[in-house]
Amino acid sequence: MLAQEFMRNALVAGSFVGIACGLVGWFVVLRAQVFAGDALSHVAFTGALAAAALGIDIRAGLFLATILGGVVMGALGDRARADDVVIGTLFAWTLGLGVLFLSIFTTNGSGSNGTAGVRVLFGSIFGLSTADVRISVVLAVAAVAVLAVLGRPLLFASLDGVVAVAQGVPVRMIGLVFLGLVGLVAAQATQAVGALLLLGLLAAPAGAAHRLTGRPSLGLGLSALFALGSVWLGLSLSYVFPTLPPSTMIISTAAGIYVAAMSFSPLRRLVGLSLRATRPEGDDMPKTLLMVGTRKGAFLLESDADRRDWNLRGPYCEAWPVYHAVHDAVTGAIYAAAVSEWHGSAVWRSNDLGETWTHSSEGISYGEDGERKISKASTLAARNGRVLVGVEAPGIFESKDGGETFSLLTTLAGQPGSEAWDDPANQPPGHLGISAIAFDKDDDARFWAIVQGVGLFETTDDGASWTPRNRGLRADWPRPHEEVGFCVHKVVRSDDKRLFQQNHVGMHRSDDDALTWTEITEGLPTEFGFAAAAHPHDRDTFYVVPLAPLHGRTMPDGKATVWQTKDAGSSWKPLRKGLPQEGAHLGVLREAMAIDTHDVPGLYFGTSTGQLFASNDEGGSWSEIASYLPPISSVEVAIID
Amino acid sequence: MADVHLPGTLTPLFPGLPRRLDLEAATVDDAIAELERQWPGLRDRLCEPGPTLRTHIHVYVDRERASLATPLEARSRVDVIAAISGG
Repeated sequence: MLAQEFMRNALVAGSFVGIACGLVGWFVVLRAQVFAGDALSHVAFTGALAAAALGIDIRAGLFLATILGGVVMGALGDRARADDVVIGTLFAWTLGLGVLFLSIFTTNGSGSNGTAGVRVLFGSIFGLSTADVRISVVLAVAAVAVLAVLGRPLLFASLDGVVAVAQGVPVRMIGLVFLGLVGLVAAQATQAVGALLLLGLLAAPAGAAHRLTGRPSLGLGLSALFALGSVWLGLSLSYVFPTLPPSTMIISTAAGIYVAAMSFSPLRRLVGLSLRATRPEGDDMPKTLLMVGTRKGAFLLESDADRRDWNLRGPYCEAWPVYHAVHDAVTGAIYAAAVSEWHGSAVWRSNDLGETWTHSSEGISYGEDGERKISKASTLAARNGRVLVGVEAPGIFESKDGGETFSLLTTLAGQPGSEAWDDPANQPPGHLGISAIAFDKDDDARFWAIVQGVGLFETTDDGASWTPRNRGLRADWPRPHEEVGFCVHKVVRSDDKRLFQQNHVGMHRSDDDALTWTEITEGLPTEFGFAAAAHPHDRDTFYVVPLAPLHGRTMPDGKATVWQTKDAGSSWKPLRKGLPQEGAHLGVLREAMAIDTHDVPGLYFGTSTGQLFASNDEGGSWSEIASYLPPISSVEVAIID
Repeated sequence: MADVHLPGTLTPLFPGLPRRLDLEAATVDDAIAELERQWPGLRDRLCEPGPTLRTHIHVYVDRERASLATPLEARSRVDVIAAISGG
């Protein structure tokens, strides 16, 4: 079929039209401007017929009208995102004009081109001249070039116009240029599939791509590919079956692809899988899951890899106060350490991402004599089907059966300070006992545990023996033992050797697996804080939330700020974009900050007044993703297959 | 048979557990043991080491404040109450 010149022309022009439609269409769908695209198709009809009526080149009328139409719609609508009323008005008016021009044109009887009306409406891709093809190629290249320049700010403006404006992105101008671009592509597509059907080529391939992936680069590629495939398949079908009009076949193929994308969810998985094979970092996994422990139950928030829109579920765990909720990446189970004022401590678990929950405290006991009691299950660590539960009075219980039953692993008996830490006088309200457990990166038998108000301890033999790891830590008070008596709030690990620690008095870093510590507080607004997070891919980057010390324990000056170091603590930078900067006296507790492991990690923190903030760009900008939760005690994040 | 009434906070924790049921038991402790037999894990929600009733779990037998050792009559009414615990 390539022997025929009309077919070659159709394929070349159609390919470029398809790619341009696919790429521009992806943004049209993203910006919910499909209706604007529809209106432009009517403008195309009117422009072309006006040109025909005036006796000039139809193409001139077509391009002039659609580009102008796009810009006018943008200018009349709010923030260059033309609203429905503006579009609808323009839509009807231009169509009316089109009818007028059609009537002038047919009355004047420009005989040689009597079918112009039909051609404009339904396209005439087999009738394209070599000159038409050249124009199509040039316009498609121009459209791609404009998108290459405009793409990133356009994406930003489309996803979060308000923040984009705040960051100085000329959102309105970008919107106008984009609608002009849509006009250009619409005009081009009119020649291939006609004014009535061009919408299908703009919307259907892009819509299918949006259904299959949320990733912009992949989505744009798929959209262009689908549009190209629609043109090729449509043209081939029409060539083989000459009674089938090419525009019908092209649009039918595009619509078919959309229906397939909508109904065929395994395809989505396939795309995900093939992507994962090529991108082992795994930043494209479909679900990002936040586990939020609050005073009134656990909540879950779900998003995709883009982490922009979050879906909140909960409260779970019968609204028991939840101190810590975590995810076991191997088994997929979610665990929550919870303490009911009435019914005591238990570990809740869900094996179906929160749909159903059950609880157990079987074996979480120091014995019936009551000499040593468990006031709360404070913290959790779950790995490879094993669950460790840190409790107060200090001890660690473990479950090897996915949280059904537990047994005592250790009380750290014999460690310096242990003779005192069971004394109720040393346990002020809110005492957590074991306040955190941190696993080694690879070795399941090696982990660190914080005994609140005493210090950090390490075991390398699965809890059988322990060693204090507090050398070099600051303590501004007398200590009866040299090795302990430190107020360690939070320890995070950045790689095989490096750990960071937010202490009651100062930030600290260790480069030798916690054998020795160095203070790195200088440059931070206060020495006090609880929450901390280590960048998963950069050992020098680390985040903290400094709080006013003493009684306040809220963000200094009422300005919500996360501080970041990119040089292992030599210097600190405040991250504030999108966080409230006035009257925001927010507290963030020890476990209430988390970082995910996407290529560009997302950061999350929850406040003791129930706000949840998220950043999908390593802390560069933030948004409040939940505003009215109960007081938040923990935030953890997982990426779910 | 003692006529046992349970708090609303307890029933969601154990599938099939009713708010009120008849139990054959000689003491409050026995009644809780019978509940534990039918709904494993329930005892730990009402009792703590000692063993004793949890601080904010109050039990009344025939409208008198009771302990684990309190005996039950054939037709005793047992109310298990989740007492006030703040906001």
